[in-house]
Amino acid sequence: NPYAGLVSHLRASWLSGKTRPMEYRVAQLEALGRFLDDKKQEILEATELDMGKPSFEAFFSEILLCKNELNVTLNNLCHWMKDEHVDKNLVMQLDSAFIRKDPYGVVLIIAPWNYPIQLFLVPLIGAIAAGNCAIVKPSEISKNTERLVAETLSCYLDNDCFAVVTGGVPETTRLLENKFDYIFFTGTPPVGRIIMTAAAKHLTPVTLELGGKNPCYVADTCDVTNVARRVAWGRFFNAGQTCIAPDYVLCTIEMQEKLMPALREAITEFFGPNPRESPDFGRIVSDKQFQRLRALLGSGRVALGGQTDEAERYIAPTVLADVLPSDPAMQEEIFGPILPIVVIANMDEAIDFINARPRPLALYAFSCDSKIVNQVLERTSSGGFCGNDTLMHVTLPSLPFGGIGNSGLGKYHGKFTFDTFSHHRGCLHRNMGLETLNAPRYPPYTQQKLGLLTTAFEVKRRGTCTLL
Amino acid sequence: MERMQQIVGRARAAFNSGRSRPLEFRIQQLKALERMVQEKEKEILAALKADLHKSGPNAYSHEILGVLRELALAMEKLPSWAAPQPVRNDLLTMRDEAYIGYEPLGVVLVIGAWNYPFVLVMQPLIGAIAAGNAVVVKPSEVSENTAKLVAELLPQYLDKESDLYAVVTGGVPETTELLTQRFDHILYTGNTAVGKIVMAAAAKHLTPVTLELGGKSPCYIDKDCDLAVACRRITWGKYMNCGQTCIAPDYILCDPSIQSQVVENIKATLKEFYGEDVKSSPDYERIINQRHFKRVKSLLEGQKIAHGGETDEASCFIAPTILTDVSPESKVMEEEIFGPVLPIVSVKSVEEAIEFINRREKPLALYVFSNNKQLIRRVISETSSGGMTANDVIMHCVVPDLPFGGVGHSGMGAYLGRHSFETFSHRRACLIKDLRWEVVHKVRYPPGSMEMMHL
Repeated sequence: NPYAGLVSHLRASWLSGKTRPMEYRVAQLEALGRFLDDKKQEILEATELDMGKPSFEAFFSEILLCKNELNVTLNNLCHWMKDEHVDKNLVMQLDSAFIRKDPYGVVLIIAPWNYPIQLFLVPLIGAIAAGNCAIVKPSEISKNTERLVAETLSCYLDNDCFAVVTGGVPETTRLLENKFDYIFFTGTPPVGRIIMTAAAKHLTPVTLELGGKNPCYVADTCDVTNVARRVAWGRFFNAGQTCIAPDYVLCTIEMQEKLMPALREAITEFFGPNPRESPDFGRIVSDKQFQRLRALLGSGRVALGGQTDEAERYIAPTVLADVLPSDPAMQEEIFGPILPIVVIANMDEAIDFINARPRPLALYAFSCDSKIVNQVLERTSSGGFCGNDTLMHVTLPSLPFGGIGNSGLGKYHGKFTFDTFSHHRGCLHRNMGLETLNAPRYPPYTQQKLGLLTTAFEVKRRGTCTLL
Repeated sequence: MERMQQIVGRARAAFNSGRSRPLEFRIQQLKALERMVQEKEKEILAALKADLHKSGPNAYSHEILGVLRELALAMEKLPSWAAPQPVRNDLLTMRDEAYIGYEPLGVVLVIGAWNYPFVLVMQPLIGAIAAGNAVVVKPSEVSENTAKLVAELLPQYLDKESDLYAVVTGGVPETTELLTQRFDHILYTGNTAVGKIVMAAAAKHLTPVTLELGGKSPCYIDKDCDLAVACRRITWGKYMNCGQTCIAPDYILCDPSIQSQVVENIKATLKEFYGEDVKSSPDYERIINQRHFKRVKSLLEGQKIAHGGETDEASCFIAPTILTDVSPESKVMEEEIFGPVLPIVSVKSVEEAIEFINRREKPLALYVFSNNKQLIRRVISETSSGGMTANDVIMHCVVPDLPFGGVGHSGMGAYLGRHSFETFSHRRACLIKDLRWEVVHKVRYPPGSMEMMHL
């Protein structure tokens, strides 16, 4: 077991208690902030080399969003760490009942390649804030970022408590043989299953941030120009390599007609007449992903874009029209700059279409009529939902970010990350006196004692529920 | 295989129809359960007596009272629990509606245990129904009378017009089959070994799990404490249900100088509780079956028995037993005892106790008795456990707003009260924007520029 030494070193540090004091956690978090500031340029460069990430995007998703999470955490850590006192019944008035937030111990964070800094750093912020030691396993596919993290993170964080492990599938498999106290994984559902199965051997709790096909319903009543912009922005950000990107559009044939010129205009507005020359449009991360995506272009008909360049791993912002549910583009999460439009007759059909498929990580609905947006929301299930926009619901730290069913389990961002990495321990600190109050619970058991117990412990209904 | 597939398939179809979502429907089901408990009290108590030799008032207070409380709490609080929770906006989303919506997960599987066979099936069921799910209940076959009764009663009281709620009876083969089906959440109460099997099965479908397992819950008695009171409380928690309680104080850690006092106090309390002849007390239970009887009895081998030790195989009776000067390496200190045997292990200081506890798997419960508040605070801060009580035992699980669950080998997730509702719900992030105000969004669209970024 090649990582046993590392894990036991971290566990020894954990048992020493050094990660528990708030001052320690704050110091580590502030060091992460300095990492983001000092290495900003290197991060922008590494992500550009990895997937042609435009600097604007990299700054927004890898630096700004991370700093927001850091600041929300630093601003609130003291409050989050406090014991949460709860209501007590009559018998316990002199006792203290509270929820203590205990760190788990040594946690493992496995990150993917598409937002290679954010998707390890934001979980790490929560892990540190909650008082844990952590091993970070960045993705080997975004290899420039992997190297940057492996070489520089250790200069900022306490190496007794935090480590970076690099490698691919074999290394991750060996790493998972060790016992961790929590595993946080972002990636695909098949690998999510492997992670959870490995975690089950040690009864390690997990958070799995997975994916799926995020539907985007566009009603007939809507402002086509704005819809097109917001959908195009969400789809083509990071060249489509976003777990919450709108994966496909559902709309009527009339709306498809209207959307097409609007989408063309939005794409041109964003990337100019030749997106290949725009510094604001990314590239596909690897040859394997590039081949996979290129094969999807045969679905439906290419209405916009469709150009590719293998050497550059460039796929133009593409919209496919008249895509059928049986087409290749509708069989897997696209994770690229290709937007299929599937034509449906009406909203009910769209909802049925969505509900016949695995529950997605995100779901989008566009309409000027808020009733329509609400109907889609109420009649479907998804990790998160955004009405009349894409992606934005995950930028609010006060909203939980996570999936359901195939798209994942658990959630994070903001306080939810802190809660994810803490064990909520129910604590009752009783008074040693007032022993007579306990008498009704002791044998010999009698009906009279039972009557007293019932009175002391029952929850009385305050009145009939106003719903009935 | 087909039978399980059908049961779960029908529950899923019923859930997909939307029938279990309206709050009125859920409250109707909870009211029906309340009626069931009230109307069938005699039958429930009879089943508990047959399974565990539990007396009426005992069974009522340990199993029925808890269920009625959970029902009353859920019916009272459901509207507030289920209400969407608005959240703080930021600059970019100022004009928008941002909130967390609570939604049912779908089809929930509740696997019960045999030691508190009624309440451990009912309390999760209540939470799952309150959260709007369809539920498949699998009571433990080991407590067979209660399992049979639950299988009979639930279909009589819960929604008869749909397949939303089902009870599956049977043992390991049936449970294994059931676990091949896809559920949207599984709550399992039982032991660590089976917990791993449940989680591995859940992993195939990416099903979230709540595992209420066990372990050896330590009980540290400080020299500075009211020993008479401490020992009475410990005796109560240890020997209730013949020691078959997942949060019973499993073993005692204390200074050797107070060991004999502890023994004397417990002996005196035992007499107070069960009289001179424990075996004839109607308030003392029995070991659930021969297999567990043999298991617990074997833990006494080679031990110094300070009190008790009498057994009777025919009636699965094991007397309340205390072992002294127990070696940490002995068998009785290896596994969760789950029986009326209380080992006392010597430690010279609270540091030694903390170290002892931390060298072992995280327990479901942890207990510390002391007049010294600092010491108590220290024990809490330097250890980890599912939950804990200071200066008493068991009681943290009757505080309605405390989460009840384990950590590490003692489990994951929590339930009871609003924690049940949250366990069985999906918290869906919702952001509803306006299609207008496009100008606000222009800052984020390409073509990007560094000036824009600094906005």
